[in-house]
Amino acid sequence: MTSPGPGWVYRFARGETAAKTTSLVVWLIAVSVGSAAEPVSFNRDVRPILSQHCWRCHGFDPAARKSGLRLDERPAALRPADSGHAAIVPGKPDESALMSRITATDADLQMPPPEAARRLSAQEISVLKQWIAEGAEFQPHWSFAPIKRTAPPKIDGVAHPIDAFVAAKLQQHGMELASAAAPAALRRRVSFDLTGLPPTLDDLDRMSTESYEQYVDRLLSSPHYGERMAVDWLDAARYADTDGYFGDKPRQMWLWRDWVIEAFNHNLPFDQFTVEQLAGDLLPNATTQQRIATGFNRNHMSNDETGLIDEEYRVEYVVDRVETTTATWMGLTVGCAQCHDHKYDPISQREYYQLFAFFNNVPETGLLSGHNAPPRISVPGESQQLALTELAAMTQAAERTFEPLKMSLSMACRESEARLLDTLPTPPADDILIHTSCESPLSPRWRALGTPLQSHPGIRGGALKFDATQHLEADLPEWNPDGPWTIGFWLFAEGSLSCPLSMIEPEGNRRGLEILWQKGRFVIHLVHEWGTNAIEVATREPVAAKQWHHVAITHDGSRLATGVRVFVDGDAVSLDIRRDALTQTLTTRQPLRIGRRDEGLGYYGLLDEIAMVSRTLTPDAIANWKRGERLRGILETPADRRPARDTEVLLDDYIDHQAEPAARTARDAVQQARAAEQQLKASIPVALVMDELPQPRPTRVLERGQYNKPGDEVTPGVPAALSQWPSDAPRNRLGFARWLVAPDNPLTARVAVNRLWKQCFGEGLVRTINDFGTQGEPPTHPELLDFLATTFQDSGWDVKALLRLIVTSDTYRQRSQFVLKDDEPVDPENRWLARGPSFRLPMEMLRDQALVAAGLLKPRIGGPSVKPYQPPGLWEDVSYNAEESYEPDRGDGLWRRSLYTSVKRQAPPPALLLFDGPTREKCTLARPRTNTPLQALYLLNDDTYVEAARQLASDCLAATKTDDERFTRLSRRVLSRTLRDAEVLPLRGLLDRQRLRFRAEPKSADRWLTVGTVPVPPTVDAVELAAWTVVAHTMLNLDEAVTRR
Amino acid sequence: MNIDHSPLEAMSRRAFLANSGLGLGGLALATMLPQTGWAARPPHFPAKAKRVISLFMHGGPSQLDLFDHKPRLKALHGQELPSSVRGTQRLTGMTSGQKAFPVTASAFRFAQHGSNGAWVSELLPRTASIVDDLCIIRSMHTEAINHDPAVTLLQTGHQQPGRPSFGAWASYGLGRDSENLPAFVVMISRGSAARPADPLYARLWGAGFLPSNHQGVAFRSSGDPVLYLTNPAGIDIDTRRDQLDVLAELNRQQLAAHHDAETATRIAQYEMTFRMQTAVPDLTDLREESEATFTAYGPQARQPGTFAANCLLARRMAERGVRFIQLYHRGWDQHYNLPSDLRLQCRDIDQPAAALICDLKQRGMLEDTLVVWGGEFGRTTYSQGKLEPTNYGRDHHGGCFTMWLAGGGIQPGQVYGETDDFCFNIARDPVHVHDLNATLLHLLGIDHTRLTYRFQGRDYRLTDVHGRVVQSLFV
Repeated sequence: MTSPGPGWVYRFARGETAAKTTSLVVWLIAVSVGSAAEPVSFNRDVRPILSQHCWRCHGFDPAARKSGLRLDERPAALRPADSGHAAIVPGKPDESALMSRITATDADLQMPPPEAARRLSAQEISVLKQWIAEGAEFQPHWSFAPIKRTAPPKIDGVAHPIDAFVAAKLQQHGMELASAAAPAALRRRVSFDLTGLPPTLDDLDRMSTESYEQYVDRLLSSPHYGERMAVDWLDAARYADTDGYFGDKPRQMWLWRDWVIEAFNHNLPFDQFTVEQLAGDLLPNATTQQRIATGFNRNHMSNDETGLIDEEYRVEYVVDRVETTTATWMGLTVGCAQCHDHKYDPISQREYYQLFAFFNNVPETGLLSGHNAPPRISVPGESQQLALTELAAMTQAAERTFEPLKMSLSMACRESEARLLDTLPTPPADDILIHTSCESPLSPRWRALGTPLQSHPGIRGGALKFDATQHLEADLPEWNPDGPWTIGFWLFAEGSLSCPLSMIEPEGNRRGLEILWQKGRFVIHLVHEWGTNAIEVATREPVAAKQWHHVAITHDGSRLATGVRVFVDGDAVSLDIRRDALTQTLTTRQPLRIGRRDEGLGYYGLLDEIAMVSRTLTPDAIANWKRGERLRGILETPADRRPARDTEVLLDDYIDHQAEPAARTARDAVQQARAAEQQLKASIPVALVMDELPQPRPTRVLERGQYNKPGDEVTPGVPAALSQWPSDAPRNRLGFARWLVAPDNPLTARVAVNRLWKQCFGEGLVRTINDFGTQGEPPTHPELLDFLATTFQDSGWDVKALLRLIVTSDTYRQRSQFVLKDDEPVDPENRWLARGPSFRLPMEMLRDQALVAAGLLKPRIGGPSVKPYQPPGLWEDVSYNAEESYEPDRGDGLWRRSLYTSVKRQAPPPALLLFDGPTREKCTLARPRTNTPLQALYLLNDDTYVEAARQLASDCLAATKTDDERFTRLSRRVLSRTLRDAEVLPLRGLLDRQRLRFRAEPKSADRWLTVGTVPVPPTVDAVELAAWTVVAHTMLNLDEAVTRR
Repeated sequence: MNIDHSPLEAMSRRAFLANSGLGLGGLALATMLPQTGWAARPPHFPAKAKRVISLFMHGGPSQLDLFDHKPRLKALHGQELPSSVRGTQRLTGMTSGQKAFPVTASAFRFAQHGSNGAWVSELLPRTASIVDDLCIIRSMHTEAINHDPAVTLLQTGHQQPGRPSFGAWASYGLGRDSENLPAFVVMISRGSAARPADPLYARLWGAGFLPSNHQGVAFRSSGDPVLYLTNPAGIDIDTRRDQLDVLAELNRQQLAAHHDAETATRIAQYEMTFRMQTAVPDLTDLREESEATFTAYGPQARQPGTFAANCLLARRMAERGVRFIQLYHRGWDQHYNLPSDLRLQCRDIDQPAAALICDLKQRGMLEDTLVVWGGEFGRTTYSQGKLEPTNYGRDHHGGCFTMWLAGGGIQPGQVYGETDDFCFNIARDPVHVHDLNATLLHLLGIDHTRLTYRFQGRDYRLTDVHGRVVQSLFV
């Protein structure tokens, strides 16, 4: 057993916590069927074997059943099968066909058949033999059986019920509870478990005056408790800040996240917590908060991919709700029954769709358009509500003032029209390379290609209408594209991607220039050789399609991206620089093309008033250009044929340029008030919520789970093998939620307490936290699990009370050192709990710990998600057309607790992924725990840690005088304890060497001290701070710092 | 292969390591390190391929314009696709409402190449020149018709998120061959087409429910090649070494006090960071590559982040034992303007992909390196939108598409499978995405039905409950 070979080194040291994925059978045999004298237990010993090897073909699912043989219930298993033989003859293994088949060597008889992936081991065969010999009794699966009310065993000197259960098991295995952990270690442990944060120095100072129990109560009443509890719940609820599929657009769900934090902090009873999240909207007189709570089942992903089949994804969302809800509350994977009856657990396909029916009545679509898929609610904060009322009043007041003025201004405006035409600025007249007013016939300089050109009313006179089947060409031999130039035109674009204007080679180097319209953005390419020698800039804010816009692009001849400017509707707009590597000429012999790039990318929409100028026009000139053309176009149209909007344009221009200042003030007041109201409305947070169609959508069994293969209609219902439907419950989500938390439901309380146990011990009493079905592991301490479940129910589902019960047990308070026997760890997986648990902190706690130790953490609870430091470029790599960029927050957002970090499902925060966090695409009930070099790189090199180390060092330098005091303070802040001499020694060596180094290299110290954004006071001794920062940084990386023991 | 070691075995392994950490000083620990984490594990049966280089053409390249030559379409160009051919295949919402489905012949010339006379379009001249080294599968098919589900299916065996990616399965099943580099690496390049690039997702190289250390590591062309690889400003190699030594010393004290094997692993992983800081820059430093190599891969190979540069890096990774090297080239979604955009995309990849094959061959690595080229689906035989004299687009088509394989036990010079005259349905030898994945795993020495992982009560595998090894593709 102990021979170490390459195999074991591989598995272990790749960083998987050993023995997480379990071969249950081997374990059971080893620990449970130790001696032949002990009778076999069906649930403990036999069920796993049958489930693993037999039930796929001889189980619950009639469609998959072979040879009419069913081995999941006693009467069927004893009945003679199609062959005439009974599989099981109780008491007579030798007469049981089961035994002869599993021991057969003939391939025709052998079971499982030769092509099966796994064979029965000799040990498994002997268990089955013993079971049949002992009478082949069946038992219902433990988790579907009612929760048993159990009393703790009486053990001398053991007062706490948990300890009694645990001690009894330990005695059976010849072990005992370990001694208590050191008080400081215990504080660190319980502080992380209950608040996700390390103890403060004050918490440590209070150890002499405050009892452990008092400390626990203080932690449970801390607002950070709700934050810590929320993290696991967010994983289960697949909470994220984007939609997930395809375009992965932002969504707002933080109101729901804050609801969760608040619910935990107010210790909302778990039954109510359940009902509100699953069916808060269906409660009588549902409050806004209860509706927000239902966001649990709107956290699923949503798809915005053009062309998808709506029903396919609508069904997918319902499937996700069923999976997430059943996994989270029932610990069951019902997903198998989406396509066929469950092979292992008693859930038929029909029953699956009965569950499905509860979640199938949301007024929603499969294809998402826009942001924040409905149904959703707007939830103005109190101050926003007040401001809304105020702004509405302001708008009204401004309108009341302006309306009378407007009448007379409009008259004056009309009278001024004739004069206006003479005073308007003219379009650029000098250095014109080419111009067309887009009136037909065009000047002979232009060649029309493709289908005939069509005319359409434009900005001035007619415009040209394109539908990608025609374009114009002209030669511009005199133009030097490497010098300064300006291109201007009016555009009314349709479609998502096209090229209004280009002068570019279709192949080869693709030299030249082109202007693309891409979903409201303008992309400009100036190319010497595409890919290697080019400029690419794009406008940042999209403009509306199907509206006229004036576009002007200038280049100053610098061959720099910063030398390109784009003006939309007369104003310069901000640009994203995507490529900036142009060093050589753009000159090409290609003609100027209007309405097409080369042979492809034809333009859809209208173009008017196109001009190219061989100099860089000033912003003023461009604004005048736009104004002149726009107003001329209007004035040249008889007043009675002008659209109302054009009249408004004229009036605005009149007020801007000719009216009294008072008129402008009044008009501006209206515009500003309206804009402010709009802006406020847009800033009001929304939350996606559940809602019901007035008429329920019929639910049908979907053949093989396919959205387009509907079968029989079903009504909402729950699996027959579980508890009864409460007679007074409505057949809807609310009824379902009540069924979940009814006292006789065998799963909900067990699953919930198991998760709380895991929170404190790192593993559940049922280790397969997400599988309470027959394929999962049975509980290590079944009586304890049921005791906790009934205690939980009896307490009114009091989560804080249950946690308090757990963390005040001696079992929880044990020291966590591995117990060795003959140099081997005893019970290394800690199934029997002869030591306290230890495991690497999850990502959120790691980072939060560094921020707390540094004094950087901003403790505000809740609010919109934040964006702390992240290496640049990660969103561009994967987002649609590289359009999205991660922009870290400035200020507080950099140092909020990690659960507030915005999660983009397509590109989650890198540290979250490195430390086993989920992508939040699917319900996650347990994160793996790995130990990898990439994690070490993050902790060693990310800015967060460097900045935190520096602030921590600053604090130690400021608060204490001597090195010894500083080591003590540092280690208390990071490890919650003081260092032993043997530990100080190497750190002191490091400090001294770093002092020497930074003294010799002051520039390195400066660079080291400027990582991050918190400024270093100029008065500080840079060498000293730099050296101490190295020490603090090293401390934050210690195994002890990253581990909760 | 029993991937899941039994807990008892695991216990003793853990026990041993914890135990050995007790009385050992730095020297003994150091001798332990080279082994940690890097030993490869044996396959189910002898592997033909030791590693995979996947050249993924994201967006869905048009098989009709590249490999699947349909000369009869010239005569039918512009005519309605017969409804008997269209049958019941699902169409995306982008074209299902079209009033007409005009058959659209390719605008490009095709010619036969190599000793087997495989047809290749003029857009891929270099690929055509190595066609004798390739196995072209023209009968790929998938039921997904939208990008997100199709690419997720191809990479993870399931249309919906949550499953491990191929590379993660490979890492899980076979471990690492490299001392200081990850088992699974991903590189992304942007195509030259004007068409916007479709999105990618972390899940495509994610570990799903497998332990997270199997997730793909993105190698990046700007900033750190591997995230967080470089020391912070002001920290030189000596300071870092000093930090690591002090960390190791204190962690050893911790190990001695707690006997926790995780601590021993952590000591090893911190040492590994130091070695990675040399190994990764050594890998990405192309200066030692010859002029001839750059000539072969093309001038873009000197531009970090291009497909060409990534192909060259892929070869360097293959040499260093990276197990699964995945290149994503974006921009193959030619709904419109196919003639101009496809030309640009092909120009990005043709020379470097062909050069990679030749390079591997020349170095004797092609025989145990499996190279896979293709996208998540193909494109329709009919035009999306208006069919214009010189321009057309094609919608997504899952009913048939083309991929090619090379090396690693694949019979070269083969053209496998056939589509109907319209290139709409498969006429012979269909290969489903699951079949492809089963086949690729087989070449890696893995029985796809036996590489499983228990999650939520079910033994999952890459091919779900499907997949058939296509034996006739093998040497």
